[in-house]
Amino acid sequence: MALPKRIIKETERLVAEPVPGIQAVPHDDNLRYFDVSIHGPTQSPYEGGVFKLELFLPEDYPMTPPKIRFLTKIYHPNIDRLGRICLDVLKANWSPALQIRTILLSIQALLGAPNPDDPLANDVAQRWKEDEPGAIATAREWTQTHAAP
Amino acid sequence: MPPSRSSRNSLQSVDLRALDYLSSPSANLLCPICHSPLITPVQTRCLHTFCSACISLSLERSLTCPVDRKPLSHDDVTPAPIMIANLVNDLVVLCPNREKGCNTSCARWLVESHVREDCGYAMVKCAKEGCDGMVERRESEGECVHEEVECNFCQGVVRKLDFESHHNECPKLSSDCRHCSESFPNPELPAHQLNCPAEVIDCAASHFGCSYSSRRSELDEHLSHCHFVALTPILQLHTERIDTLELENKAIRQKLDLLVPPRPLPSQSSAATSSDPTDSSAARDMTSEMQDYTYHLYSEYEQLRSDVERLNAQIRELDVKQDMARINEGLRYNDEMTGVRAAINGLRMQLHWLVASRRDTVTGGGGAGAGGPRSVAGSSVSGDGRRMSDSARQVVKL
Repeated sequence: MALPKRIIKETERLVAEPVPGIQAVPHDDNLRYFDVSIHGPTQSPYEGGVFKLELFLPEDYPMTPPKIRFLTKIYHPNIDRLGRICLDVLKANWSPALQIRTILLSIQALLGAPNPDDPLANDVAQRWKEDEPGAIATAREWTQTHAAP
Repeated sequence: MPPSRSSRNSLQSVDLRALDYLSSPSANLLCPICHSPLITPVQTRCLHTFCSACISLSLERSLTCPVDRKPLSHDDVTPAPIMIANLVNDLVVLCPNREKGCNTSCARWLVESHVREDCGYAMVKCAKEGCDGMVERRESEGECVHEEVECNFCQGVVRKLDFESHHNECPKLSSDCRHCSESFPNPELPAHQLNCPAEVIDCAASHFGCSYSSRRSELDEHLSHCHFVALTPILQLHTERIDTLELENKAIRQKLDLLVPPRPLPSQSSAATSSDPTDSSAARDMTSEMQDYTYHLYSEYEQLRSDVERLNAQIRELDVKQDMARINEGLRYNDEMTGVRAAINGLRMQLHWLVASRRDTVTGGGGAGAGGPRSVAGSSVSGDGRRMSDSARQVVKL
C-alpha cells in the first residue's frame, strides 16, 4: 500500500527542520519504521545521555497513535524495563491532530518531569517517592552506563 | 471510424490527497489530520475545520474534536463556509501524470476533468476494435501496440509494447563488453562483465594504501607478493582495535567532562585569544590540554595561597598570646619586687634601731642605761612590736 501523503510530509519536515535534541530517521526498507534518538533534557538526571527509541506508524495512522518503545535502558517511573512508555497521548488521549514531532517532544518532556503518581515501573516509582535523591542518582548512573552517546 | 469521445475517457481515478501543489499552500488551509489542503471542508461545533472524510474517520474512534478534545458527535459537523471550499479548490495543482511527462498545472477543481478528458499521459482504452489493452492517450491515435510481432533475431513473438525491452534480453542479439571488446549474447553480458578478465581493478588491499591496479587476470600474481595483502589480517585487527579504543576514549572523555566541568578562568581566556581560530583540530586539542594544565596549576596556586594565609593568621595569634604572657609575667615580678623592697625597708629600720640602742648603751650609764633602752624597748614593743616581729620573721624566711 502506498505511503499516505501525511507520513511523507511529516518525514520530510522531521529531516528538514529537526526538533533540537531529537532525531528521527526512517528505515530505507520500511518508511513507517523510524530510528529515533532523544537527548536527555538539561537539568534532568538524563542530561548528557542519548536515548534510542523505535517508532512504528501503524496501518491506520494517524487515526491510531504511533507505537513507540525505548531501546536504551532507562531508570524512569513511567518507562518499564521493556522500554514501554506510560504517556496519556500515546493511549487514550491520542488525537489524529498530533504528530510524530509533538509526540517525541512529549516524551522528551516526560524525561524532564517524571510522574511517579502514574507509574509503569512500580519499583522505580516507589523508590522515586520514598528516596527521590537516591532514585535520581540511580537514573544518572544508568544514563552514564547505558546512554553514553 | 474514430471512436467516440466518451469511449476515450480515462478511467484513471485521481487521489486528491496525493496531489502535488504548485506552491506550498497556506498552513491555515491544511487539514489538521491529513496535513493536506482541505478536501470537502467541514466545520465542527467548536469551529475547527477538517476534511469531511478525515473527521468522520476520527469520530469513529473517539467522539472528541481532534484539536481541542471537546466532546463532538457526527451531528455537530456541518459543511464549512463556501469561501473556504473555494479557497482550497482554487489552489493550483500539478497533473498526477507529471512523472510520465505531463507538464499541465491547473486549479484543483479542474484536475479530475483534465485527467479524464485531456491529459495525454492518462491511460485510455486501446482504439483498436476488440483490443482490451490500455494505452496512453497520446499514443492511442497510432496503431495498436498490443499486437504481437515477431522478433527479427530470435523469431520469438513479442508485443509491440515490449519490443524495446526485448532487445536487451533477446538471446540472438549480441553486444560488446566494455572491457575486453568481446561480443556476448545480451542475456549473458551482465554476468560476464562482473568477471571480465580484462577489467582494470584495484588491489584487494587498496584501502590499506596499496596503489597497484591491473587487469583482473594479472592481479593474482600481484596479490601473491603484495606486502599490503600479506599484512591485511593484522592491519584489519589493528583497525578494529583502533575503532574500539576510539569509542572507549570518547566515552571516557564524556565521563571526564561530567566530573570536571569546564570553568571560565582568566588563564583560559588568554589561551583562547592566543589560539588561532583556523587552527586544526589537533591544535585545538593541544590548547584544551594546555588549558587543563593551566587549570591544574591555577588550583594548586590557589591552595598554596590559602595555606600561606592560614599560617600568617596563626603567627599573628601566637604573637598576641606571647605578648599577653609577657605582660602577666612582668606584673608578677613587679609585685614580688615591691614585697622584697618592703622587707628590705623593715630590715633597714631594725638595723637603725639596733645601731641607735647600741650607741645609747655605749654613751649612757650602766643601770639607767640598761633601764632606758628597756623602757624604750617596751614602748617600741607596744608601738612597733608587730612590725618588728613581722620583719624578723621575714628575715628568717629570707
